[in-house]
Amino acid sequence: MNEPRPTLDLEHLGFDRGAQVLLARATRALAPGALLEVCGSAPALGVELAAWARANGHAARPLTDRRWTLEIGRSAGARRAGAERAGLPEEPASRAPQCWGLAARGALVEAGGPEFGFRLCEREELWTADEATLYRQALAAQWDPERAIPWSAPLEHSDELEDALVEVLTFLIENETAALLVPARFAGQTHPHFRETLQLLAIQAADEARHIEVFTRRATLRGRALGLSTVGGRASLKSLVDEPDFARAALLTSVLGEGTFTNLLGFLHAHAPDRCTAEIMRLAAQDEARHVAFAMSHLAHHAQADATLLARLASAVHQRHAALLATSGLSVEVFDALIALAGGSYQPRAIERGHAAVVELLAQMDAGRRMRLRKLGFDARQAEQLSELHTRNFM
Amino acid sequence: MTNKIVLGAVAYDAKVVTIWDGFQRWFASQGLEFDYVLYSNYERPVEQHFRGAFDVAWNSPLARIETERVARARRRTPRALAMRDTDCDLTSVIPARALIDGEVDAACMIDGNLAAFSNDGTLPRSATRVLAQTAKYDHCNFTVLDGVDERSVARFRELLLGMRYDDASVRPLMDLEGLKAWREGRTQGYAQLERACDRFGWLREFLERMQAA
Ligand SMILES: [Fe+2]
Ligand SMILES: [Fe+2]
Repeated sequence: MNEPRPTLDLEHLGFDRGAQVLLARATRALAPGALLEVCGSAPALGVELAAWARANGHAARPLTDRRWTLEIGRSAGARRAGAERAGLPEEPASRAPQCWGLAARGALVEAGGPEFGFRLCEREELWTADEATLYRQALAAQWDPERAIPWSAPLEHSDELEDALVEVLTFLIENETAALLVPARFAGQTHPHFRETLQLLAIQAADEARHIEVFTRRATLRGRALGLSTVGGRASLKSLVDEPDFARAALLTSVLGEGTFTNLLGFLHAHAPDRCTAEIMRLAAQDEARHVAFAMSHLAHHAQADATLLARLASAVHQRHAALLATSGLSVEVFDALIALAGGSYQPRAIERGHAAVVELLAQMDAGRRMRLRKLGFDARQAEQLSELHTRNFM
Repeated sequence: MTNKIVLGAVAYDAKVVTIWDGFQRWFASQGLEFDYVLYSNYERPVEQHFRGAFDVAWNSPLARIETERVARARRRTPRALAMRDTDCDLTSVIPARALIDGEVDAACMIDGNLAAFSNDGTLPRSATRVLAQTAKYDHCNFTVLDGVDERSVARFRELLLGMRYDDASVRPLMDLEGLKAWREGRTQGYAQLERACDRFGWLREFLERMQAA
C-alpha cells in the first residue's frame, strides 16, 4: 500500500497572496523525488504553480483543474546541505575563515562565495570573554557633550592662563586624533566574527571623536588662537598611526599612551582654571581608563596563549624609542603650559608650585606605566626600562 | 591538444559578462579553455555562427529556428547540446485587467513573469484574469553546427550536464543564469514558434539576406 501522500491545501491563496510561502514551507522538509499533492481554488493557480515549480527545480503535474502533484527536484535543500555554522553565538571560533565574511556569529553559512581579507582573524590575539562586559560598560558610560559639559560656566582666569590651556588643548586634539585613527584602522581589519572586539574598537573610535569635539570646542570657547603642532609631536604620533601589528599598537597606543593620558587628564581635571574644562577632563579620563582596560585585557590573554608576545611587545617599545631618538619629544610650550596651569598664575611662587606638580605628574605617569607593564607579565626591571623608553610626548 | 570552446551569445544585459566570466573560470578549472563573443542583437550571431566565428551558439528560440532554416538551405547540420531546466516547457499567458472606465488592459507574458508579478504585487490577481494560455514551448539552447571539434564539444556538454546545484563552486553561476540543472538539448519545443513565423512571414527578410530563402 502507498503511504498517504503529504498534501498542501492552499485554499483560495494565489501567488498574489503568498501561496509561495506555504509552498516553500511544505517542500522544505521533503527529499528529492518526494511527491506533494497541492490543491487550491485561486484563479489560474495551475499556471503560476507550474512556473514556480520550474523556477525551483520541481515538476508540477495536473491531476484535476484544482489539484496537482509536485515532484521535488534534486536541487532541493542544496543551499543548506554544504552549509556550516559560523561558530557559536556565545563563543567565537579559534580562527574565523575568510569565507564567513560578515555572517552573524552562529549563522548557517552557505558554502562558497567570496573570500574576505580580514587580517585579524585569530581569537587568541583579538578576543577575550571580558569584552562583552567592557562593551556594555562603554555603552552605558557614553555622555552627551551638549548636556554633560557646563559650557556656560564662568571663565574668570587671565588671557595668559587661557593661552596656556589652549596650548595644552591643541596638543590633546592632535593626540586624540591618533587615538581615533588607530582603533578605526584595526576595526576595518578585524574579522567581524569577533563581534565584541569590533564593537569595542568602534565605540573607542566614537569616544575619541567626542574627545576631539569637546577639546576643540573648549579651545575655541574664548576666541583665542590655537597653539603649536610640533614636528616632534607629529613624528611621535606617526609612529603610532603606522604601526601595523595589533598587539604592538595596543601596547604603544593604549597601555602606554592612553595609560599616560589618564594621568595627564586627571592632572588637568585637578588644575583646570574653570568648571567647564574640569568636567571635560574628568569625563575624558573615564573613557581613557576603559580604553586602557580593553588593551590590558586582550594583551594579557594573548600573552598567556603566546609565550613570544612579551618579547615582541618589548621590541616594539625599543624600536619606537630608536625611531624617535632624533626628535625633541614633548614641546617646551606644552610643558610650560602645564606648569602655569598647575600654578594658577605666572607669579614665581605659583610657577614653583606648578613645577613641583608637573614633576610629580611625570613620576605618577611612570609609576602607572610600570604597574601596567608588570600586570602584563614583564618583570620589575623590564617594566622600569620600558616605561623609561616611552615617548616624552606622553602618547 | 587542450579542449577549446568559443561561445557566441547576446549581451542582453550587463550581467551576461559576469555569467560567462564565471563559467570561463569554472571551465578552466575543469581543463576546458572557454571563451565567448557577445553580440548586441539576435541575428548577427546566427550569421556569424555559419561563418565559423565561434563553436557554440547560445540560441534564443528564434535564433534556433533561423539556424535550422539556414542550415537546411546550406546542407549543414545543427545540433542542440543542452538547455536550462528552467527553459523547458514554458507557456505564455494573456492576463487581462478590467479598468475602471470599462476598457480592458491586456498583455502577453511568460507564465513565470505572471507568477513574479503576482508575487511582488504588480498584478493583483483579484483584478486580473488569464484570458488564454499557449501550449508548452522551450527557450534557449546551446547549438553547434557540423564540423566542430567533437572532442571539445563532448567535453563542454559533459561538464554542463555534470554541474550540480549542490556544488558550492558552481551554485552562484547557476543562480545567476537562473537554473537548477542543465538538461539534454531538444528541439521539439520550437514547433509552435516556427509555425507562427511562417504564418506571418517573419523570417523571410533574414533568410533572403542569408541566401537561404
Ligand atoms: Fe581620548
Ligand atoms: Fe582613548
